[in-house]
Amino acid sequence: MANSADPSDLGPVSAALRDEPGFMAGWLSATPDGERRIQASLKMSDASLHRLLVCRAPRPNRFLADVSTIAAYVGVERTALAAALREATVLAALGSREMSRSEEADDGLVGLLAAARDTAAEQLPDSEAATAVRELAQSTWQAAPPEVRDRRDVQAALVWASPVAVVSLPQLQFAMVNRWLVDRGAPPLPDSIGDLRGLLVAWRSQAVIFVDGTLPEADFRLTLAHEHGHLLLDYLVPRQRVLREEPALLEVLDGRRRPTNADRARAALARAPLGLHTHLLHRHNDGGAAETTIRVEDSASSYALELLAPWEELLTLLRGQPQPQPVSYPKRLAAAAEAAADHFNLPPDAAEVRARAGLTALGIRPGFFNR
Amino acid sequence: MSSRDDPDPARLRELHEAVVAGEDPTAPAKMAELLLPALLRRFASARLPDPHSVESLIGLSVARYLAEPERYQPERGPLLAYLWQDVAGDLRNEWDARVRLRQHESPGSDVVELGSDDRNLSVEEEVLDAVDRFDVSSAILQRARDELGQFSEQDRQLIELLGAGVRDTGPYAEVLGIAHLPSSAQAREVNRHKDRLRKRLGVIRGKLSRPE
Repeated sequence: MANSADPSDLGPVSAALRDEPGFMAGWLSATPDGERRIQASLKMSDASLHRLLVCRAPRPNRFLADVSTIAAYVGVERTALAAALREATVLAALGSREMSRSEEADDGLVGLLAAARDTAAEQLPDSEAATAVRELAQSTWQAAPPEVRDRRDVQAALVWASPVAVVSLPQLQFAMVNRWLVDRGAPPLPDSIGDLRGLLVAWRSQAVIFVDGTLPEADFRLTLAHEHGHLLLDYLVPRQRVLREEPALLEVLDGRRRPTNADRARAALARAPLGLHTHLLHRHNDGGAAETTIRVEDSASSYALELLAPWEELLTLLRGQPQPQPVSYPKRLAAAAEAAADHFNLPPDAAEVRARAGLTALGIRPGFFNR
Repeated sequence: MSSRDDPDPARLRELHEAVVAGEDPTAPAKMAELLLPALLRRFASARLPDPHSVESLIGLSVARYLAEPERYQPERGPLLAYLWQDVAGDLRNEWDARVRLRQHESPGSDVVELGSDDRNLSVEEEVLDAVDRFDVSSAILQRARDELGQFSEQDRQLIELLGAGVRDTGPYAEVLGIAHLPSSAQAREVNRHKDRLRKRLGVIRGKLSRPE
């Protein structure tokens, strides 16, 4: 009996590759409804979807090159494909929390990082970022394709640089985040705080950043950059250190097994945090935050400012600013802040902090009566 | 007999090398796009247990090849013939399973008509005559034996973990970018990569131990 299959349809091959994690079909198989979601978000035909599924999964250290090649082959925009893949993988990872909770961990929290940026005003660091933080910010931009760097698209840059998805929800609240997760087959988060500007959730090397979609664009970008700072500084960098120095500890870090005494000793030597990997932003009744939280938040903000307004670029900008007449520090600071806000699309308070730090580095300080 | 619609042998050879090398993530899909229509054409006139089973069996066969392309040895014959035999073997098994099922369900019925003589095996001869021959072994496989420097960055990271005696799956899964998958899928893929690397290292070790 002759068959009438469409010879260009790779469906039979993609179906047979669902158990092969090295291929997109297997890589996406753990994501609830993953194939359909990707097809819908990228508006792909069935034929394109099957071609995508028969491609090899992108390698973590070649993500830009691999995803760009795949996107060109299946005819979709590469940043859109990268974002869809990031979302699919974080949903698969978060979905596995249910299993972890019942089988291994005590309360489903071990290995989970959750960091929130609430709606209370925060102090921004007013000095140049440490070299390590500046390098991290530079590497984030370098991981993105040129068109993303050219338009300073922070959201796209984060997606290219790290295993993170970005989700914008209107009037961000914890309940909305949990609804979003549950609707996509992931268990809800166990903690709760009030209104949020941003929330980072990371689990088994995958992360999602939720942002209040009603924020003005400059605040939206700052919040995204801040949460990405948490992801890098409090999660991915320590994980990379563990992977490099004590790879066996990764299983403990992720809550797959309980730490032994030897693990604890090795963790201390490798400066790897064991146990609860969670630091939700809890404020005291007076609105202040715990000392450790302030330190962690400062680092994340420092990274955010460096990402949005790179130090060398900032100094170049300020050097080229015309001096307001008559010269006075307050006027100079105001002009510099306005220029920084315009050039880097910063919120006014962040622009002023950044401008003040830049002017100080250029030897321009407030006079005695301006302090 | 050769078909004018057959894929260009040079293109097949080039894609096979790309699939083995694993550097171009789209190579498996491009290869499947060439193989699938060619195999469907080969089996178009074959008598089949049901019209859809051949699509699935061809899909399975192509997927098996893409997942472990090293199992196909170019010096032994053309890729299409290799896959044809794989599909034909699966079809034969399916026929036999149906025959056994029929015998079990209705003893004494028309079992004989579904016997081995009814299989259209002339297709095999046609394919074997038609497709190209690979005269030389894959250049990529040969190069891979030449020096350790040919390992990818990802492979080097995996080898470092192997060398450090790491037994847990997690670190390997992290390097492979599959930490989001269920533990069983991670373990399977990690073991596959460990086996692959051990084999490659064994080959290199053997080569280095031989005098020039």
